[in-house]
Amino acid sequence: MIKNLDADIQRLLASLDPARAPYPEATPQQRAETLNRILATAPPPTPRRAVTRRTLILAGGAAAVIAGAAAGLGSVLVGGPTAPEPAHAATPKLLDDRLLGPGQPAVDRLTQLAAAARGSAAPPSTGEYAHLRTQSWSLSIRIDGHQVTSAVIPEIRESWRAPDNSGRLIISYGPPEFATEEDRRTWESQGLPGAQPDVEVTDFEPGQFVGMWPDQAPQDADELRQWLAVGHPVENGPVETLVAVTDLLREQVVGPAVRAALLEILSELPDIRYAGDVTDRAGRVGSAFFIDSDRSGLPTRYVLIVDSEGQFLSYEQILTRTAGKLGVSIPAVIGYEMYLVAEFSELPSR
Amino acid sequence: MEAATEAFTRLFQRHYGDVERFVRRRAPDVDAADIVAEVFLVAWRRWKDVPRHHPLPWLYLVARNVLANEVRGLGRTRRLRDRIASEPGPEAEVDHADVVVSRLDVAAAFDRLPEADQEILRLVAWEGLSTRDVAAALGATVPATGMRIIRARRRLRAEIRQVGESTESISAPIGKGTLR
Repeated sequence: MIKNLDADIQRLLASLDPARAPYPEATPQQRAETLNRILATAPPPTPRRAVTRRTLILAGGAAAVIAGAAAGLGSVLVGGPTAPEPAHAATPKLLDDRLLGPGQPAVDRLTQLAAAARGSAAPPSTGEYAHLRTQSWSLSIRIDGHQVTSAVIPEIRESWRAPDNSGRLIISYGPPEFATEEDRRTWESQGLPGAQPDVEVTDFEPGQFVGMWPDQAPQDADELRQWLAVGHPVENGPVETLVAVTDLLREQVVGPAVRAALLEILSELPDIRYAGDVTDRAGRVGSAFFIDSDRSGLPTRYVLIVDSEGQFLSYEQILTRTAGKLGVSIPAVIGYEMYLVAEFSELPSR
Repeated sequence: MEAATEAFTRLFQRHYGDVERFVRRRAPDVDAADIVAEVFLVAWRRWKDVPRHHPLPWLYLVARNVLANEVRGLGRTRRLRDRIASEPGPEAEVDHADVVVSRLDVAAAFDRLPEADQEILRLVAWEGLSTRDVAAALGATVPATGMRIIRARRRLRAEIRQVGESTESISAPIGKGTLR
């Protein structure tokens, strides 16, 4: 509905756009002068960084990778990127070949999982903050302003959100992953781009950590279906529901009743298919369901993985037929997200 | 700091034109270059607040604030209808209900709307923002913004109908059966 609405408004007002009239736009020289004047002013304050936390993350994984790579590099580290970009951008490995197959009808499996979800345990609760941790990666991810094409560097997002919309968001990055040894060598010769990105820590005052939905997800499937449609126009097809579910998982701790209702809604989607049971990137086994759509411009398979208790584990996006101009080798995983923690807790002290 | 300079330069180069058009759409008589420079200066000083992945709605939010001060100070707002009247353009457009609406009628109807409605419609029609981005540019929630878009369009259509009836330039009710 919103999409049609936007089109209607654009059609009514497009020809009245004042920016369509001829106007002496700023020349490249004028723009450059403006930019230089701005950059000549005081530099921006340094964001608050959780340096100690980053140290811990590095100690757990990336430190070994960086130390090993740096030992054989010498001065390359100082000079920054020096090698050409790889022919194909690095992408994560495909979880399972069955994710490329035709699949089978999904309704029975989803209905089973909805029943299992309804009888499953409530999420842990030791406080009032919705505490979520996800790990994700996408082809377009930028780390410290750079797109890293020779390594897969996942983003780890951890949030605590209170009912008054106060809270904290921490964004950090995991150790780089490589599909091939050649990718690793390319990354090293480029000067280890994205190897030690900053950790961003943001604290939000009450009312500032606003989510997509102002209220909690309803437990009734019919109400939930309408609620999910907010900001997710049904005109975009069944995959929009999948996207809405992942938006919800990124934002709220979902209890057994809501999970059951979500699975029920998914079971009713036309074109949803069951690919079989697969193991996700965190080593967890779950049933994989997918929908094919070209809403993003390229034929893409959107996969949702759900465990035997109806917990949502992972979401993957796979290009199956063509890469367009994305510079990846088909089939290619162009994005994934794992839902690692969903609980209610206290806000940890800093 | 070098990384910040590089990233800011990229932001500046990529979105200068977007912000410039944003300013011209709202205040064609002010010096757009000065306003745009002010917007990017704010972005540089508040660099840690600029969303890295999708900064444009944030820049528009800043631009609205900068413009509000500037335009209030200069008293240079100008009605859309007056601007349209002084510009060459197609005389009429066919609406989807098979009626003909003049551009001046639509502009006059637009001018009669509250500023809040006008701004919502500008963001959708001219900046081409999604509901989520409109919400970010206004500092509002997505659900509330979705409702405001629906209401703004409804009021625009009602005003077009009224203006059309008064000037007899509309040969049939606008948007028959589509007003929400």
